[in-house]
Amino acid sequence: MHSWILTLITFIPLVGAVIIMFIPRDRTGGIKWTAVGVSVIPLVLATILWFAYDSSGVQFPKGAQFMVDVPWITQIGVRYMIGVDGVSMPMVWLTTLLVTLSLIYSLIIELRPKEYFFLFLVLETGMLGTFVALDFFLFYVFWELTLVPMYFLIGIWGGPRREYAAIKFFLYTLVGSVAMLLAILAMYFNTSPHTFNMMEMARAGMDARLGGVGAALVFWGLFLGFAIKVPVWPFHTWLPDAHVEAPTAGSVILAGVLLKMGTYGFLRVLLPILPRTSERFWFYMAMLALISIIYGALVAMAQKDLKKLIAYSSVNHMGYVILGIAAAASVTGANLADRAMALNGAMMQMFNHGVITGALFLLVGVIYERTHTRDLDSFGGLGARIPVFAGLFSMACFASLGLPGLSGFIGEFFVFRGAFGANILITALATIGIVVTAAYLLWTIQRVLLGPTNPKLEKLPDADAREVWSLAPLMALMLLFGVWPAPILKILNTASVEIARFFVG
Amino acid sequence: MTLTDLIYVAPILMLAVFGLVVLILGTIADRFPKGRLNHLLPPEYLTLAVMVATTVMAGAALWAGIRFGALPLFELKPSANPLILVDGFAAFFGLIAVIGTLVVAVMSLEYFGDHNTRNRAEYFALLLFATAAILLTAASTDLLMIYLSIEFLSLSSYVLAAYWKNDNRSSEAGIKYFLFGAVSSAVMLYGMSMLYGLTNSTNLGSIASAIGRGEVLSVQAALAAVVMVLAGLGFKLALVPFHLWAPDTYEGAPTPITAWLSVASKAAGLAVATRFLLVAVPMQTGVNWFEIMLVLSAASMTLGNLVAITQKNVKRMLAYSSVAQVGYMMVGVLAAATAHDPRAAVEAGYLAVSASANGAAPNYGLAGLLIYAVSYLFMNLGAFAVVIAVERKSGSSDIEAFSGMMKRAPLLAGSLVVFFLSLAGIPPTAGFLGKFYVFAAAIQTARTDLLVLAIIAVANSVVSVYYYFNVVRLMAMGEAPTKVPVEASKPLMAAVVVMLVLTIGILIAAPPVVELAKAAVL
Repeated sequence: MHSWILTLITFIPLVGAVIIMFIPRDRTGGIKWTAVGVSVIPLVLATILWFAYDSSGVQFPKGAQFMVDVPWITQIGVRYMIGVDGVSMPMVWLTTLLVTLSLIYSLIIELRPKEYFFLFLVLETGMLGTFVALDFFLFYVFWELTLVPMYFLIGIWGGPRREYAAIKFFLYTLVGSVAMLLAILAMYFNTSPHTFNMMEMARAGMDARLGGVGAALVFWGLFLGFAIKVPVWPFHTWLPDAHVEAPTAGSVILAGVLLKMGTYGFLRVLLPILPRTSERFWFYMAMLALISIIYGALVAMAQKDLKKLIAYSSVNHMGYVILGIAAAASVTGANLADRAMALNGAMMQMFNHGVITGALFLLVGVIYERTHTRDLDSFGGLGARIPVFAGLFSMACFASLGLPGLSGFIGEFFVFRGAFGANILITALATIGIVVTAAYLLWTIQRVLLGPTNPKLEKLPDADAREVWSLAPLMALMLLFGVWPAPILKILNTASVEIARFFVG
Repeated sequence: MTLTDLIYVAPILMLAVFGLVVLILGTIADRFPKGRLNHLLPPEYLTLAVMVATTVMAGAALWAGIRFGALPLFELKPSANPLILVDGFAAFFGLIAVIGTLVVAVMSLEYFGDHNTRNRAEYFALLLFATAAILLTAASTDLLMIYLSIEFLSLSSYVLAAYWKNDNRSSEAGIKYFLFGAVSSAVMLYGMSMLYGLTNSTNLGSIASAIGRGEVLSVQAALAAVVMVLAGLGFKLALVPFHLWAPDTYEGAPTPITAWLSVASKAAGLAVATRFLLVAVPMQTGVNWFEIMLVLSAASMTLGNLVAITQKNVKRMLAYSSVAQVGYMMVGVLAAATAHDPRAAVEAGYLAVSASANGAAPNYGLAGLLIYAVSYLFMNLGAFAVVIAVERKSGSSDIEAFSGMMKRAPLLAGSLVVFFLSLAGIPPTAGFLGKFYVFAAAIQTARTDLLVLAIIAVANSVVSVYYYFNVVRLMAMGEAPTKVPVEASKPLMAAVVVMLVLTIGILIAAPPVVELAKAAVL
């Protein structure tokens, strides 16, 4: 398999965006189908990549698969270096899938379609680039490239408070990014010869090179950048605004991919490059994760707006990912298997949350377009009226609350199994989150699908072909990885073990 | 001086000579009925041709400066105390100024489209003179020459700012600029006379050696003198607290002149301020201006950005933004100052701006300053080009006038988004590369004070997004008052597109630019 496949996957969307720029504004059909068509190419390539990927092959930081390494800004050692390992490969595939599904769902967009599809494809390049970049400079460029398209997607096609939500999203994330930039520079000047190569940094023992205070500053700089993106409590306040105001497809990408960029940063940067410092602060990370889990769940329960509820459920679910990551870095006597288990759970949860929450946001979009409300009290009895929607919605909710047999369970189970070895008390407290999550999701099902029908919603049409097609693959994934997670776990596990090695002996 | 040395001075000579030619031709042409001669040889196209030629020459001068080393000119004594030194550093800033003026000349074509003013030639002649003054300023290595060239530059600029003599705003712009300029240059001259009194020399290198050898009466007095000189240089830079003229002048001056002031004139200030600080009073002399500049740099970016938020007019907003940008650039100068070793330069008999201390890894500060200046040139000129286009259609440069512009002029509005992203330092743009370099230089010194400054600087970048994106928000999400498309003339559109390509291209194809900047300061 030629290694330029990653470059193709990353930049084909950008090429598509440029093509769209030259299609006349009024040819909306052409614009939409060009965008969908272009987005299918990276999906197909990423699928080929999945099968060509060697799950027992070389992992970060020893190397990466499908690597391309070309000098870029030679004077400061910046390289165009991309590659994938077990951490990034599933995310690349998930990104291409979610973008294609989002674009299919977005075929109904009528407001300024040219700009919409242009921005969406630019966004895809930014996200994919973030996941494949192995050079910090490159990573930062791609990381920032996702900001602007998302700003416009929220700001132009969003809900009533879209302008506020858009700039809040932008500024919050930017604060984290610039903190990360300074941390990157500090690490750069403490390598010799100076390098932005993430793998070399991970092998260089950055903790010792930076010294106690330096390493702590760098750690928290990077942490801020990633934690705002995840978002970890208390940096989460941009998320409900952004999610509620974003258009449906924007929410899908936001929850499905952009949040994962944050946890991906933990796995790709914090743990491997600063293992000793991560150990030093693992307890703080675990506590923040615990608060995120319980706080997110409780606040979700209090919501009356369906979309806001799912937004807060993201804070809750991403908390499990951080918990798994913190457990893997813990200073307790946890063995390699425990730590790898926790990381497997974290990554599995990243993937599954993308799939499940993506589906949930699409479903909220489906119901909102019909009823023009997201107020949970205004629904009721929809189960009998629109059975297809009801089936899809309840399946997604069950997957989200971690019902065994659906994929959500696997991730959470592994996180708890791994975290148990690190700290029993924190793990036990975190299970409160599971209970509350089950409560609010079941209550949601009850309020939306069961009970007496709201008379206004008597003649609701059921989900149409476009909607079912954009949802079906996600449902299939929930079921597939729920009963047979082996194909993805095989890929994740080699990467997890490689990261876990930093923390044992 | 041999004939080949002409390469170094050709741009200055070209600008001065053709400034006169344009002026004389214009004066003659105005006496002809119906401006027939103007029709035959319009001053704007003559100026354009001159600028294209000068750009080539400035490029050649830079190449020569890098390839053959500095050329000292007009030595007062045979022992080489030059008044002017065309080195890579001077030639680099010269090239920036010349390119800036070329683009401004293109932008002026559109600006004068309907105004068939009689004294157009004066405008273009002044532009050429002022650019010659910038080249001289960047190369000055003697207090006398610094003063003379800055005055030359200032006097030309005052007139240019007040060019619309029947427009109150333009006159206000000119008179404010003049009053502030006159006061600052008086203070600067006083500081220079003190330095001369203390060191018995006007040559920057000799001043450094005199202070360094402890021959001065009082280092504190030298510091006071340096602060006074900084008042004059800070005025040219629009550095806080010497920025007070900038908003009114930027708003009232003809917009191409505003663009020119913000890039070309500022390049002169940057070059001379850097040279003065690093060569005449490097840190090793014990004249401790470092903390002062540190505070001014932080104040410039913070005040500039905070006040920019409240502005209702794009030109005023960009004025405050340019105040903030100078603050960022000063980070590079400060970082360079800590790593700069002037001894070699002083021993050589005359100054040279050297970026590297003995054998140690070179500090990124000076190279970063140059890279920042180049990216600032393109992104700021691009932003002003869009402002000119919008201003001409809507008759206003208020931020409100940009409402719904994404629908009326997608290419112009989209380009402005990229220029603003670049000004805010967000990749993938040139501005990111510039910020990356100067912040890297600050971190590289591993000094706590510069680390704090870098943190203030990145926090300011976030603040700046707020006001840049206020305009973007209006363009993308605001209602358009009419659906009439806004179209720029072909030359202006070409300027926007070229600036756009360069603003993105400088990051994508960074190595040659970085190499040039490094070569210019080593």
